[in-house]
Amino acid sequence: MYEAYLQNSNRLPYGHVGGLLSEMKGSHKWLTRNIINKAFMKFRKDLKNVSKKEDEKESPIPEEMNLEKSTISSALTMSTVSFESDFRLGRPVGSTDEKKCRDRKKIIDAKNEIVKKIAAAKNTLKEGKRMKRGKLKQIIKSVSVKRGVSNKILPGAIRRRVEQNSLVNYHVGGGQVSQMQKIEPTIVEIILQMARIRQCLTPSTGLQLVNSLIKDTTTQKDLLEWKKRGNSNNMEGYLRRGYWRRFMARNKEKIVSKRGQKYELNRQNWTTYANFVHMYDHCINEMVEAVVAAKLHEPVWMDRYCKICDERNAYGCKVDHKLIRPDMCICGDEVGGSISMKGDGHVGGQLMLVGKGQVPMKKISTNDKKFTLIGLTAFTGEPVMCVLILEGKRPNPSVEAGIDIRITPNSSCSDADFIMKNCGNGKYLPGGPELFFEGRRFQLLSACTNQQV
Amino acid sequence: MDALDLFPRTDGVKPFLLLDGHGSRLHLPFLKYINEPKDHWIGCIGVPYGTALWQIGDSKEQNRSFNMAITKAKDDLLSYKESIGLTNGVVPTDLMPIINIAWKKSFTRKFKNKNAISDRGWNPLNHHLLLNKDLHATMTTKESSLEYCIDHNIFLPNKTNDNEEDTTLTSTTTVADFIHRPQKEASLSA
Repeated sequence: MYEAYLQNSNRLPYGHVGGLLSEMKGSHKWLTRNIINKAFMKFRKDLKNVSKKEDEKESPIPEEMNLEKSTISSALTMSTVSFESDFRLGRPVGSTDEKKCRDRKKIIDAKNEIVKKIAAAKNTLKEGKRMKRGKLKQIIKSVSVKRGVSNKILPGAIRRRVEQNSLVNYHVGGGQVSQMQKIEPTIVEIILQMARIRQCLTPSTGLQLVNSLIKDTTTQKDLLEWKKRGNSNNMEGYLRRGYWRRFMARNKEKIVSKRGQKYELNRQNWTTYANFVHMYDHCINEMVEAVVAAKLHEPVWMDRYCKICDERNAYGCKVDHKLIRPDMCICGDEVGGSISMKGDGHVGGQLMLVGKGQVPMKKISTNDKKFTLIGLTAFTGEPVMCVLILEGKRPNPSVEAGIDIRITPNSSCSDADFIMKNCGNGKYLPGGPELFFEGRRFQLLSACTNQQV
Repeated sequence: MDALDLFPRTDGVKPFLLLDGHGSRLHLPFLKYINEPKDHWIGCIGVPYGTALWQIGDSKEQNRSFNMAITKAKDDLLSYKESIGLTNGVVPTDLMPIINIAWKKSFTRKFKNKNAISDRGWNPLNHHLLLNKDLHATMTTKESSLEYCIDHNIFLPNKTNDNEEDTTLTSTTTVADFIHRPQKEASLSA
């Protein structure tokens, strides 16, 4: 199972568990899908723990930047590192639509082939002669098997098409093919790229773009000829809203029209490729100066856990600098919050039972005490320090120590050693988060400010 | 942190600090402190207005998980208080137990933090954000020509180059450029 999981880009292939189940059901009647899934999750969890332990064993400071040595160690551990933290079953996103599209194309191709074969067979017959009995069904069966079509193809449908001399169809249910279909992939690409560079086209500008693309081209000539054949009233050679509707329907898997989200101009100006290249270059240079990173003799591909690997399994671009002291690199960001529940979102979107036509009401507390928390994290992934800034004019020990009402105090409030006995993580007066960094224990650093936090 | 001797400056190693462009990072007390010869820090400021991409704290593994966990912790505490007949809601003394719960479910998860760090190209130093499609689309023509240059210090994996090969638009590209592109290419090949 694990091999199949790795081969299918860290997802179990669709139907794999079902296959295993049907294979083993005869000998192990007690086996269920859930048992297999749980066992596999446990296996992956164990594997993750093993790799974590290996990581911890490794010294943060390599004795020397020997590339060969690290290559060997990475080769030894390659089999255990390439997995992601999320375990997801099922088909990848979008694969159902793709499969439907493929199946539809298969049916169209199969029908076209059958019709062509029957038409050719009929042409070879002498006048007044009929085709051999069962020949049509035989061709349908052979083509269906060859093209892997499981849907039933009716002989009547094929006969009608041969009678009408409709040898090639572009849709399952017949109908015409758009003259624009050959340039539609280009239009889709332009729309997608314009969205990526944050210059989204609107439906009307999209239509203008299509019209400008075909202006004075052979496509426009073909379009006009086709319109002449169909006695259309619109002979201007321009496409209108009807075309756009059908274009969107044809490409619904790739493009959708939706309301825009506001995007700050500053962000637009700053979030550019060049700025990010400069940021990386500058930061890496500074890291080298701080002796926390070193240049490698030769750039190498690395996976996301800093193990050297081949390009196929690489994560990101080629690495030409290696962090030798990730524990000395820290980053931090503040997150604001409050004890008021007014602005809280629906985490998990939990549903509530209520009578029909009624609105479920949820109680919230509106007491307010704002805070800002700064979490400092080392580049090893370890939390270094937690800084808490509380709203208030002067420090308040009862707030800083906190009271966990779910825990029963160890002794009576009147006891002299009440605080000593009940102070600490997991006790009645828990205090802030405790941290362990580099084998040392740290308590929360708190401060208060009368400014807005 | 220096008072606790968290980052000993042995063998010339200095702690490296990655910060966002918030005004407080440029205030004099902070600048004075990090430039003290005794406890010298190397500080770098990331791209302003781009923190959603590069800052580890802004990741779903940290800040967003913290916000979700704190909301859940407040809900649970209020339910508990109701169950024992307390009607005072969430009060300031409940803050620390709530923060403790949320902290454990967000910032302390080392494995998730590692993922957030590697996703942003900080460890390993793999410039991972340069593969971001939105960012990649803002490349200028000069940059896109440099991308395949051997002397350039950024090596993108081939698997992404294959997909982007024919469709690279840049911030300086207009629709007209794209329309005339096949003609230009044809004339070049001729």
